[in-house]
Amino acid sequence: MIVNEEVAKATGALWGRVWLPPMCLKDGTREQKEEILRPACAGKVFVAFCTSEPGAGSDAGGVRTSAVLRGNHWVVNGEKCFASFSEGADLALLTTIVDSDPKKPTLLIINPKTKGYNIKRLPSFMQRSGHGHPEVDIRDIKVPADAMLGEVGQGFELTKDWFVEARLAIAARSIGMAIRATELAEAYAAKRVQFGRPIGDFQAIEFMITEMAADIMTGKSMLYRVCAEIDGGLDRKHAHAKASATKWYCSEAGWRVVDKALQIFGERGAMCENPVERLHRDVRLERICEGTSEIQKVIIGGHIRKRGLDVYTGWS
Amino acid sequence: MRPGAGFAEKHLFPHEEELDVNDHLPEETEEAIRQAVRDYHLNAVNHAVEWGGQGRSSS
Repeated sequence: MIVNEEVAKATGALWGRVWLPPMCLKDGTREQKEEILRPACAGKVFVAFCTSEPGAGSDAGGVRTSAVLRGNHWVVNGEKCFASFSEGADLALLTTIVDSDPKKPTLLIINPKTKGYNIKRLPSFMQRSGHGHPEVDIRDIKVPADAMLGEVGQGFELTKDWFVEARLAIAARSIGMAIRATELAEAYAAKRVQFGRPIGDFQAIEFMITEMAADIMTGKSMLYRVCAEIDGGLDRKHAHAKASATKWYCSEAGWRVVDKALQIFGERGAMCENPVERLHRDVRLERICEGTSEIQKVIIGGHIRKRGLDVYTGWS
Repeated sequence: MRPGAGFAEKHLFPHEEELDVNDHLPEETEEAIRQAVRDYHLNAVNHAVEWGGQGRSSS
């Protein structure tokens, strides 16, 4: 997470150039690890992860892309959206359901350059990262029977593991962006003179910077603590619960901080040449991707109902 | 020293404006960044050393 925090200080999702192959690749067979994970770690193979569909976002149970085993091949049909970076990827992990049975979610490993993986649309987004989030039509793609990660029916568990990793990464990125924006705003406030004084000397600005610092401190403390708990062997369900709360808090805090930084810059904060303007666009997305803030709250509420408030409050 | 400290400032910040204007970076720039990632041992920090990662935790 520390690496995520550091590299996310760069705008335009340049952090994505510091590659993190999907964690669930560790659950592949030894052959899959040799053929996919090893070159992915070396940066020679890029692996995308395609889950979302027009009717399935945070509700992964709504996935309709189907896989049917015919002889030695899966035949895959369906539709994906926000299939991020898959337009240039070498491989993609595709969430499917076998035999159109929602009880059999399964991750297949496909080559997005295969005939039948048709990019319908590559919409423009507010963040200009050089990578897309295509809408894809999948028609009769043939996938070798063994090109499957884990077992039939394991797809959601493996996807959940990926969500834990992705949500903590978002939390770390949000903190990194907030730190850079605060450093820039504080430096600007120290040198920008109005009414005979640096604007940082006015309490209105000073209080904004103190709130920004405290927001960063709070989010970073939460993030590092949860990461330490996971490293210490926290079980999968509690990790999922805490990753949601951390993602929600840090992305919202990051947004508050960067918005204040832009405010301190005044009109100069709206100039595209100012990193704070770009950070403002970047951090806004973190409240949305891999589950909106509202979805995180639904998840947190669900964990409280199932496991009790102690999940979040019962620690010392 | 924190892993990744200084990497963004040196290898990513110089390309921010070009990326924002063009929504694209030239392949030689992309390759230079990839090489810098390897030089800093930041590739696949979330995977085991056995498989070519850096063996740091995914969290």
